[in-house]
Amino acid sequence: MKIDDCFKNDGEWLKGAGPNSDIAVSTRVRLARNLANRRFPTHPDHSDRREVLDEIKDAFDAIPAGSSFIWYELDGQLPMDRRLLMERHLISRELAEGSGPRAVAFDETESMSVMVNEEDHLRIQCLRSGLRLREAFDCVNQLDDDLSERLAFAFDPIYGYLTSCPTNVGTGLRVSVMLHLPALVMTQHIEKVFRAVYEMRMTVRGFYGEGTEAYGELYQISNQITCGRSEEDILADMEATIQSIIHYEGKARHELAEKGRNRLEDRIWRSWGTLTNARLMSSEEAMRHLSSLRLGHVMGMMDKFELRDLQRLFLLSQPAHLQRMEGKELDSDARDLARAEFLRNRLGPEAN
Amino acid sequence: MYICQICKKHPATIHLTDIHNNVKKEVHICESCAAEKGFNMQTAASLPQLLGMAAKKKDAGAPKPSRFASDEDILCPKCGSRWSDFKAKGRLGCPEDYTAFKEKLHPLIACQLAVVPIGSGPLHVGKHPGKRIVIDSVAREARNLELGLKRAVSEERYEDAARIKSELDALKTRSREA
Repeated sequence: MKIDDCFKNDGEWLKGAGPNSDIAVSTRVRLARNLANRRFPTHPDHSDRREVLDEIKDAFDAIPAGSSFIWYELDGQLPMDRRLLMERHLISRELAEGSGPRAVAFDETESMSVMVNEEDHLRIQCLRSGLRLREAFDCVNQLDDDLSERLAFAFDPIYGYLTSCPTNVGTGLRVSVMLHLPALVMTQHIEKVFRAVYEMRMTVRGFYGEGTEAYGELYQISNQITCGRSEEDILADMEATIQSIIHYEGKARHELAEKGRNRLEDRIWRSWGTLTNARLMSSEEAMRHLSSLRLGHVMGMMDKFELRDLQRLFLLSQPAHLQRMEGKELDSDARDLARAEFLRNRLGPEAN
Repeated sequence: MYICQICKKHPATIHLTDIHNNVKKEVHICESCAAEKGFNMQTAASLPQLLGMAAKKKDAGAPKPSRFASDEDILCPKCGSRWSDFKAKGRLGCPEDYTAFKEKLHPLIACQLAVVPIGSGPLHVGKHPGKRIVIDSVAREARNLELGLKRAVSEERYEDAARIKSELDALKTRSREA
């Protein structure tokens, strides 16, 4: 199957909808599961990874929900196609850049995805736009129930679900919410918020998850504790933490609008100016200016586009998506040129 | 709760993870050591640097051997992984490693929790394979209301607080009656 044929929709996280979507871009919930009596995919001996993959594929084919999933094996695919999946948040960087038999199964709406043979045999995840922890959890929980009828998962009564890295053991549950926090960055309160997040035993990750950078003032907040707390407690702690960060970002936006309106408007319109005129643009710079536009839009200072269209630009200006639109591989300089032109065309005077 | 790896006294509130060439390293430090080392959350010092700092401080102080220095390596009979492999990569070889490395692994898992000794019962709370879980909607609603109440009080929105309080009382009465 050609990778382009897989993408019929925009992807759930791009919708710009859902509760608190002015600040909470998307919610991701994932469960880590492993097959009993098999080596973890991180074991240096890879000889049984193919068998694991086939066993999981058979389970997928047998469950009722299985028919709605697209099964895509990553071994032997072009690096650019794998990166495309990563940019769409369907797979992690680790799976994209890994080697050996591994796959992703995802549904047409790109809201559910299951990574096979990443760090664990199964990473069942659900992505929702806005802040929708329970809804996303219910989806992964249901698929986990279905798959557990066909597969024997590694489980220990003392430690819970056993995972390749002990930081996931127990529930195997990781909940992340991607927050857009430009006002906390501008008012220099972001560090304080991060400290509070760490005190709550949660962590801040970058745009593409663990070990990646935060671009465009987008931060992923996720739980650290996976063992000794029930799924319900983990979700409730997360909800409380996220709600309070949302509260502080909202307060900071309000303060900026009251006391620093000129500075704020200047930033937003400068970004507009750059995006509609620049001739070269790195993806990091694009994210920074798109972040300003997102802020301007949700604060009612700019009404030139729909939030959904703007969110799409975050995705389409990423390297693999840009090259897919151009229909060829481009080096970094050529991408910066193409990206600037693409953004001018989408946002500039000729766009409408 | 992690203890700061530099001063070994205060609770660590800053946690950093880095994966380089598939080797995972974690550093847990307290705020005062972070400040002393000039570490700023926004400039994000590199992890090897911080690990270097921790090592230096240790050398300067009393000659404490590394926590694992005298450890004998353990082998998992099922998959052939060694404890030293886990220390180097941060990843286990197979589910059986949890049993093979129990002595060493248990404290690492339990240090997040209140229970530490082996044999103090299950650490895991929550879902089991084959047992479906239903999230308790009354408890969830009560928790949300309690949170809302706290926030309303802290923001001096007393009318909201009174309303939320009466909702919470009504919910508790209903669940008692049920």
